[in-house]
Amino acid sequence: MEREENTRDRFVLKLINDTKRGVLHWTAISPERTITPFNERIISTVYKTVIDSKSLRIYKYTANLSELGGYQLHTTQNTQTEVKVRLELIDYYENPLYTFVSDHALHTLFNAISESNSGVEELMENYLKAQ
Amino acid sequence: MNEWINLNGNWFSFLGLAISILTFMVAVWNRRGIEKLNKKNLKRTRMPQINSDLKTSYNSVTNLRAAFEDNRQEIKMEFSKISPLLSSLQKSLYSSEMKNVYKLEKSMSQLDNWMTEENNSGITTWLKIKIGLKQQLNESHVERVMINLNRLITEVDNIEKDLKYE
Repeated sequence: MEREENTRDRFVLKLINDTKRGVLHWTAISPERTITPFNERIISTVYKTVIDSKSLRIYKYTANLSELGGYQLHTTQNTQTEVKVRLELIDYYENPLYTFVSDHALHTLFNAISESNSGVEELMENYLKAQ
Repeated sequence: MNEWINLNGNWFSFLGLAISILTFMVAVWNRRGIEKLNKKNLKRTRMPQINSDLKTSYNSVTNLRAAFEDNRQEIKMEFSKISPLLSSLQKSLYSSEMKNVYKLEKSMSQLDNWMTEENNSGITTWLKIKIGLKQQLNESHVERVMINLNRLITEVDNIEKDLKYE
């Protein structure tokens, strides 16, 4: 179990590192084609990449804390929502085959992908060169 | 009846005194417990800030790691910021929540012996490397720390969420 977790963590770390180094490229896809398991609301661009002919998809969504896992939680407090990141291995028809455990590393990965796809570095460099 | 009261009066006085002492001791013990709990709760309020600092360190190391060979020194410096944060975090956590703190501490226990410069020409350094006292900071060291740091951050995130419902 520990070994399996280590492999998964190392895999996500490598995804972050390769994305930051510009070795791994992600393409933006239409969020309409992505169906979330508990009808959560997707609040970001959905990114996809292919590694060894397997596709990975990542997006940000809002999870309702009072409806965790499809179960209604009765609470006197106000309903709270939480922004989460989901990384999935998907098939040819974009159905999820495996969902990675949501943790802080996935947020870091999503931010790295957003940053590399935004082209902000290029924009800044070009703008500074032009002056 | 009067005779019975006279006979047992001393015993009842003694019993009353014993109950008073016992009540006093329980009150003192409870007060200490409450004080301890209040202290812990006060320290618990520091937890989100410490976790935020840990996230900043994590993100900095992921940025630096993209050019690992050039940033060994900076990565080591970033790691050295984590130890004091862990000391503070330990005050906010209960013993049952410490597992990931200990794991992270263990993965960074050799931090002082991780070398960041290629220059190991000195005979003492050479000897220390040979007998395994010193090691060049490598990607696998960083990876181990990052994995444990990520697990700790995620756990503290979950504790913070649980606290909202307490």
